Formats: sequence, C-alpha cells, structure tokens
Amino acid sequence: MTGTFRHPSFDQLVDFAEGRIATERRAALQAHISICARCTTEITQLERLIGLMRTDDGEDAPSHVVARAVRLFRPSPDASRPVATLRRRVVAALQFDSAQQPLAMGVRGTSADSRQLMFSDGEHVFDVRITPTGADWTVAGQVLGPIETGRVELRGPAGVFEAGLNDIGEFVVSVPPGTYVLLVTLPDVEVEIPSLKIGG
Amino acid sequence: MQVIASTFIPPSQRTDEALVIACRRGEAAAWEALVARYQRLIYSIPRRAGLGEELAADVFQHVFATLVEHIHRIEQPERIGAWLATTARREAWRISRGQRAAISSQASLDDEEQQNTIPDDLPLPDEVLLRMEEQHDVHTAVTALAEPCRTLVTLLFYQPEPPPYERIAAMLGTTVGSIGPTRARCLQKLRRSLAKIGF
Repeated sequence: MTGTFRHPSFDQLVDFAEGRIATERRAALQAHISICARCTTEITQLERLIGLMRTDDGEDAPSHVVARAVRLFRPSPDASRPVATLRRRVVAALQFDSAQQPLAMGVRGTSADSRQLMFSDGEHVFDVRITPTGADWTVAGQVLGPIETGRVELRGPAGVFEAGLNDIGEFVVSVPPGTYVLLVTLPDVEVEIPSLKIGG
Repeated sequence: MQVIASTFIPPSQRTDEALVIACRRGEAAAWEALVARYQRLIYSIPRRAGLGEELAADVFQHVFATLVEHIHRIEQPERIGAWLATTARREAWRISRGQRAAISSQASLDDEEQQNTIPDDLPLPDEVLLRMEEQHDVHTAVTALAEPCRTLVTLLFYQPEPPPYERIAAMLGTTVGSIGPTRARCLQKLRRSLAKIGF
C-alpha cells in the first residue's frame, strides 16, 4: 500500500508529543497517528504525562514545617498497647514581664536592656531571658515542671532557630531582632508563646 | 521446624495502606514516611489556594494533626492521599474565608483595592485538586527513579526552560545522541511505575 507509515518508535512518539519533530516529518506522523488507534493511545498518554510534569508548580514544604508535623506523632509508652497519640497544643499565658515593671525613680529603661518573661500553660512555667549580644539577641531560658526531653523553636522573619533542652530543661538560642513565635515541644504537649518581641 | 524468613520493607517503600496500619501500631518511622510522602502535596494545596507561607504551614500542621487524631478511624487507608488532600483543601478554604472576612471589614479600603486583595471565596475546584493529586503521583514516581533517569526526567520536564541536549549530556557525562533514547527508556520506566499504582 503506498503511503503506509510504519508504527513510529516510542522515541519518535515522545519527540512528537514534545513538539521536537521537524515540520516535514510531523505531517506524515500526524497522518499515521490519526488512523492508528495504538499510536493515538500512546500519544494521548504521553501528552498527558508530559503535560502533568510541565505544569507541576508544586512546592516542597520547608524542612522545619515537615519536622513539626513529624513531631505530632507520639507512640504510646505502653508497649502492650501501642497507639498513636496526638501531642496537645496549648498557648502559654504571660505571667511576668520585666519590661512592664515600674522602674525606680531616675532610671530610664531602654530597648537594649535584658528582659525576663515568664509564661505558664498551667502545668509548666517557661522562664525566658532575652539579652542583647552584639547585633543579635540571646534567648535563654528554662522549662520548669515535669519534663523528660524537649526542644524549642523560634520562628520569625529571619527563619527558624532551634535548640534542645538539657537535662534540667535549659535552652539557649541566638537570633536577630524581630518578632517570633516560641514553640516548646515536650513529650506530650506543644506549647506556643506567640508574638515574642526580641530587640528593636 | 519451618523457618519463615521475613523481609523488612523500609517505610519509604511501603504502600499507603501499610504505612497507615503501621502508624496505628505506633510505628514512628511509618508516620515520618507518610509525612515525607505527602508533604509536597499538602503544602502545595494551600499555596495554590492563595495562602502565604505561614498560613500554608498552619494548614499543613492542621492536616497532619487531624490525621493523628483520626488515624484509627480512616476507613480506606489505601486512599489516605485523597483524604489528606481533601482535608487540606477544606482547611485552606476555611482560613482564606477568615482572611476575606478580616479584609472586607477594613473600612479604610476602597472598593477597587478591596477587589484586588480579597482572596477567592471558593475552595479549589475538584478538577484542580484531582490534577494536583495526579501531579503528586507522577512527581513521587519520578523521585523514585534510579539515576540517570531521575535527573534526566527532572531536567527535561520540570524546568521552565529545559536545557539544551548538549548541556544535559555534559551534566550526565554522556553523548548528545544518547539523550533521546535514554529519555524514551526513562519515560517507559516511569509509565510502568505509574501503572503499578493504577495511574
């Protein structure tokens, strides 16, 4: 039969789907594809697959966002009944702020002063001290109450800064000035201290 | 005595159903694998819905927190991806409606400025969500390809401007003439991989 076109190779079909076929060959390929169910199916599937990839504008979640979700899961300490449980999430309430205390007469307070804050979630007390250290600020503190292990995370405009709690619940982090969310992750609870203004 | 050898399958290679079941047993590594498997999709949904990075992170946290709460009640563990996507879409819509209400209550904005700043009040359409799930399946299969296929497919199909074959050949340490056939082989592998999950 004159004008018969053999099935194109898979490589040629990919070139066709990608638009890489030279114009003079494209017409011949198109003519074959239009009367060949097998090649039509292949092209349709290839164009769909390539189209999905080419238009994929998905974003990977930032690593600290992924890490936080991973920490949500806490296996039960009871080995005979393993079960996934959710860490409670609470917002700690401000109990004390040295910046809000009245100063002695003649003493002028400045933003460069160290500052002590204390928060509570009803079960723990979070003692936080903020001290200027050159261009940055040192956020040091201690978690008081029943704890085994834990981590703190300061999330702000400059990024995420993390530190572990030592065996007496202390932590220290150095951050640029800004307003941060302080997250304290303990075995069965995640405590949030929102809008922690550091420096400035 | 018959000895039955058991094969340990790393969490990253288990099916969604196997991961959910392992999570129910309290297996932390399975949870970590499930989060890693779906992090891109669950973060992309609120971003596609117009939410900024902070709010997208909140949606992300809410979705996985909800999953932990409901892990024992998921009726179709093999469809956990669709469950996660639907939950993300719902939460993203809830948050964007809250944003819209907050913006529209600002009396200082004139009508034109309001029009430009109020997020869309509709959830992501079903067809958009479905397409994002399909793109997630494809992307997951691509990242599971062995080299050089993973790099080649990524360069050819995930770049806004695919590099010329000469540069690709130099990056892969191969010849220009081999790029086409290698591309075809890699796409065949990708299709076989996707066919296994019913794509």
